Parts: sequence; structure tokens; C-alpha cells
Amino acid sequence: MNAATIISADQRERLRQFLRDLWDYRELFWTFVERDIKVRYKQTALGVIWVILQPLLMSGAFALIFGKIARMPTDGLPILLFYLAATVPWNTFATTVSQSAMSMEANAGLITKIYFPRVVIPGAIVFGSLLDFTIGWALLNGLALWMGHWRWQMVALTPLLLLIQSCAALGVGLALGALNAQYRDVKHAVPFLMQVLMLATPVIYPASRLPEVVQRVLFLNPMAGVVTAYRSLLETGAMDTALVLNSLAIGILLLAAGLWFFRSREARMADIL
Amino acid sequence: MNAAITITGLGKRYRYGGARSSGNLREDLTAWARGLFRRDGRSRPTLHQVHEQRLDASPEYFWALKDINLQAQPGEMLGIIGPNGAGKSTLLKILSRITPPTAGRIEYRGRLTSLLEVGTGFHRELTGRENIFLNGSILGMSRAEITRKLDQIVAFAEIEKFIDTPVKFYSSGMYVRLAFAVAAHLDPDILLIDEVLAVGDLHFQRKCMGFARRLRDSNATVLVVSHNMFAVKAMCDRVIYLRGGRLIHDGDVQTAIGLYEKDSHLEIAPWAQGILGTSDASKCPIVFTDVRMLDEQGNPRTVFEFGERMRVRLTYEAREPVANPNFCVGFSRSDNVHCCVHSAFVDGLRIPLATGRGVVEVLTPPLKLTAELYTLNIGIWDSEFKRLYSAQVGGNFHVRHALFSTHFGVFYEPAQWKTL
Repeated sequence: MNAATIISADQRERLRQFLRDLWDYRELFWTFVERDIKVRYKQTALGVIWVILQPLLMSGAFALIFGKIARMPTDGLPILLFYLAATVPWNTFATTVSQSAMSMEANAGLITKIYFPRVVIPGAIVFGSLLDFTIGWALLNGLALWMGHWRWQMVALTPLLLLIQSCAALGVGLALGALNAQYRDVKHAVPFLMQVLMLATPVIYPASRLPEVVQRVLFLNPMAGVVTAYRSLLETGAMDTALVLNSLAIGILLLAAGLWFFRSREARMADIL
Repeated sequence: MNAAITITGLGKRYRYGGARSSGNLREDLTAWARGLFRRDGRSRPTLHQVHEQRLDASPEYFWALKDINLQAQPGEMLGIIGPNGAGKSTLLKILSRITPPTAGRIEYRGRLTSLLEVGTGFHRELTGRENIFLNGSILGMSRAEITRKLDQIVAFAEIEKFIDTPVKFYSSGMYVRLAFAVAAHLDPDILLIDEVLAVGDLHFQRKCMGFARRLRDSNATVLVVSHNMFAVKAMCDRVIYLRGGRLIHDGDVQTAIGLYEKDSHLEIAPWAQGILGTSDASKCPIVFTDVRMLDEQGNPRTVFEFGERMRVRLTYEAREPVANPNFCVGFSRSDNVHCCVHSAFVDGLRIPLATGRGVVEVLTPPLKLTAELYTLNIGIWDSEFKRLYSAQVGGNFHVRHALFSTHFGVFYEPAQWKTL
């Protein structure tokens, strides 16, 4: 017979049960990943092509406006490559954060009727986005190869950068998702927030052009570290280790804070959705 | 033998008007700090205790459930009944872990599932097969288990041909069949049913009940929340009676049903609460304050023979003058089939203006209803059945006959026969 399930008002007992549930519901995680991916491409005519088109069009537009017209410096990289190196990780980050922010509301029908650890939903969103990222990343590598800027370090160090990106996305997404369950204002604020965050990430400009003091503030944003690292990997095959470790620490901190905040509100979510 | 479910000291506190942030941190902190400077030797309360005390004292909070203790054994079918707002649904919600308890704890063994989840988590864009996997995982089946049972589920739902069609193209019948097929193959150790929330037609509800009975026979524990006393009587071995969030009775079915009848006597009928906008009879302009079921001679009765006539004596009180009140007496069978209505206005009783207290009496024609348990419904409409003033529960009575059971339908009327 299975072990007993405990439903308790006591916080410690609740946490113990939660950790057991995470393990018991591991298959549901994969089911959600599968569902999200399948549903995303089910009724689109272009399907997976969107994943390539999106960062390509965005980088093209940036390259034209900021590179050609405004003549923004590009750290010695070809203009298109400079922008693609930023839009591929940034797009995945922005999409996962917005999707996670909406995820509690979007799955309200499930959450108000069935129990499962709610964190599985945003978790599956972040994990499922790795597919999109991989496609965009392959495109980036192809372009780098073609332009003679490809380095093996790109392949070796991407997992680390991806880890930072995923931690940060999940952390922020969890917090916003839990908030949006209670205050629907969040839903309207998220697109605006993502725009501000994009400006706070060196997507359309090189971080190196900012004064030292501003850079220090900028790199509190882990995505700033990630984007800068990709660019320097393409340019020199090396990256600023201290900077990346700093981003990793902040990313993990964001994840921990997001998880804590989400957990503190998870139990009441069905009552307020 | 271990109990399937053990509930100890369970309580749930809600806030009127929905959950918000649970209170004012500043107030808690001041009260707590004041406790620190107390010198009377009593132990100083923790911040948590201060917070709890303040919420308990607050008129904004109420206990939807309090001090619930009970155990359920494998192979037991437990009925949960009680008036509206007794906490029945809250209990199921806590058991299915949708909402956490405020106090106490529950321990249960095995897989728990609830029938109100039928079809939740289906995605319109996905095919029948994909939805079986999705829904099955959400309900707690492993993928290996779903793969093993896939053929059975598909056969049970009778959708073999459409298994790879997106469910958005399914008819509603196919959709419900598929959803139920998944639920029926869960083999839970504990099943929760909320009759009010279990969507679907009578046929589907019967299917659910049949499923519950089969599960019980295979040693699962079944908890049923129901308003249908007939079903409770037919199915449950033991009944929990809740009132105002407290457990009033735990045990034999007859006592629990007796409590339910007593508590719901002259209450506003559930179906009318929406129309009247209240569940409080004292808010209606004209209400019944007493109802008596009598035989033709005027003796109180709750059991009638088929063919006997029934007198119903109604005392009403008009809090404001009501012109042309149309007193109505109706009978509904225990499975909620509405059988017939007698209307005072239609039958020619004219009361131009009802003021204050009054008594009306109706003598029914010989009862032709087949042998069963019936509920007496009493109501007051206007003469055109446009405005409802009140609709109340008048009590239950039995009709007896050796032959004419419900197999004969709702009523039996002799016809003229001859051979040709």
C-alpha cells in the first residue's frame, strides 16, 4: 500500500508532503511539457518556422535601425550577428516570463479542481522553451559559422549561460504568476515590464559603451551578463568569468526568491483564482 | 486494519467576500509588542497566536468547518449531508487538496480522486489519445499505467474511430464518454463525489453512482455529498451530518436524515433561493410559518396509503399586504422528479388581500402517486405565476402500496379494458 498522504495546517508537515509530491508528480511535468509544445504548433501554418523567423526578423530590424542608421557600435562583430546573439536568448527569456506570469490564470480551471504542485506548470513552460531556444541557437551558430565567427567555446559554455537564463526566467515567472493569480493588474503590467527589462539588457546596444558605474548596476540583471557573454564568446572565444559567475549567483537567488514567494501563495491560489 | 481516512481537529476559516491578504500586519505587531511588556506573569503570546486571536475575534472571518474528527474505513460508503452552508463542499475541497485547512490534519492512504474532475484538463486542440494521457496524468495515473489501460479506455468510451481526432470535433456525448472512461479506469482507493457539482444528465449521474458502488465493493472508500435523501438511504452505510461547519451526527442513516428533515423544515427551497434572492424565509413578504400533513379526518400523518386523500393545513403570515396570493402545494419524488402541483387560485380559491396571519387548507384528490418517499413543497405565487413570494420545504411523507412501485411510473390510474 502507498504511504499515507498528509493534509495539514502545520507548515512543516506541509513542506514535507510538498517535497514528496514533487517527486510523485514528476511524470505530470513531462506531460505538461508535451502539451505545451504540441498545442503551440497545432494550428499554426508555419509551425516551427516561427521560431527561426522571430529572432531573425527582430535582429534584422535592429541591425537596420540601430546598426545601419544609428550606427551603434557592435564590439567588432558583424551587425546581424551582434543582434542575433542577443535576441535569441532574450526572446526565449521574455516569452517564458510572460507565459509563466499568465500560467496560473490560464490554468485556473485545473487549479480550482485538482491538486498537483502548481510549480509544475511554470516549470514545464521554462523547460519546454528550451526547444525553441535550441532552434534559435542553431541558427545563431550557423550564421556565426558562415560569417567566420564561430568558436567551439560557444558550444562548451552555452549550458552554463542557459542555466542562468532559465533560473532567472523561472524565478521571475513564478513570482509574477503568483501575483497575477491575485491581482490581474499584473497581466497588463507584464508587456510593459518586459520592454523596460529589454532596455535594461544590452540587446540593442553593447554594454561596453556604458560608463563603469552604470555597468555595475546593469549587471545586476543576470540577462545582461548572459547576452554580453554570448557576444564576447563569438568575438574572442572567451568571456568574463567573474561577470558570468555574478550572473549565476543572481539567477539562483532570483529562483530561490521566486520559489519562496510562489510557495507562500500556492496553497491559497485555488481560493483567489 | 488501518483507516483509509483519518481526520483530526480539522478546521477551515474563510473571509467573507473572498480571500484577501489575511489581515493587517501593523495591528498584529502592535498587539504582539503590547504582550511583550505585560508583567502579569502569563506567558507572552507569539506573533502567530496574536494573529489567530485577532482573526477569530474579527466579524470578517468565519469558520466554514471546525473541529471535525472522523475516520472512514476501506469498503465504506460515507454520506455527507446537511443544509446549505454546512461545510460539505469545503470538506471535499480540503480532502482533494484544492484548499488547505486552517487547523488540524488529515491522513489518507492510497490514491484519492474526485468525480467532479471529470474532463478537467482536456485540451480542445489535442486528439482523444493525447487527451487520455494528459487527463490521466493530471488525475494521478503513471504513463505506463495509461499505456496499459489505453485500449480498455478507448473501448469503454466507444470512440475507437475518433481516437486520433482532436476532441474539439467530438460531440458532447463522445466528450463526456471519453472523460468518464478515463476517470473510470483510475482505480482509486478513495473516491469523492459531490452530487451538486457532478455535471451531466440523469443517465450520467446514474453511471457515476454505479461506478461508485462497484468501487466500494472492491474495498475502496467512497464519500458522497448529496441532497438526495433517497440516494443516501439506498447507498450509504453511514452518514455524517454537518450543520454550520460542525459535525452534528456521525452514524446511522435514519437519524441523519431525520436531522436533515428537521433542519430543512420550512426553509426556503434550494431552487427558489436564486429567484427570491435570499435563503432567509423571514425576508419574504409572505411566508408559511407552519405546515401540517393530516389525513381526511384531521389526524397528523406522514404515511399515506395509495388512494387516500391528504389534508395540508398551512399557516401563513403576510408581513406586508399581498393581493391575490396563490397558495400552491406540490409533491416531488425523492429523486427530485416534480410530480404535481395544486394551485389555490386555479382551483377557485380567491383571497383578494392577505394581511397578517391566516390559515388555508387543501384536501387533495385520492393520491395516485406510486409507492415512494415524497417531499411536500409549499409556495406562494401571484395569480399569474409570474411573481414568486415564497417557496419552502414542507416535509416528507411516504405513499404505500403493495404493487404500485416506481416501476409503474409516477402515478397509477385505472383504465378501461375489454376483450374484442
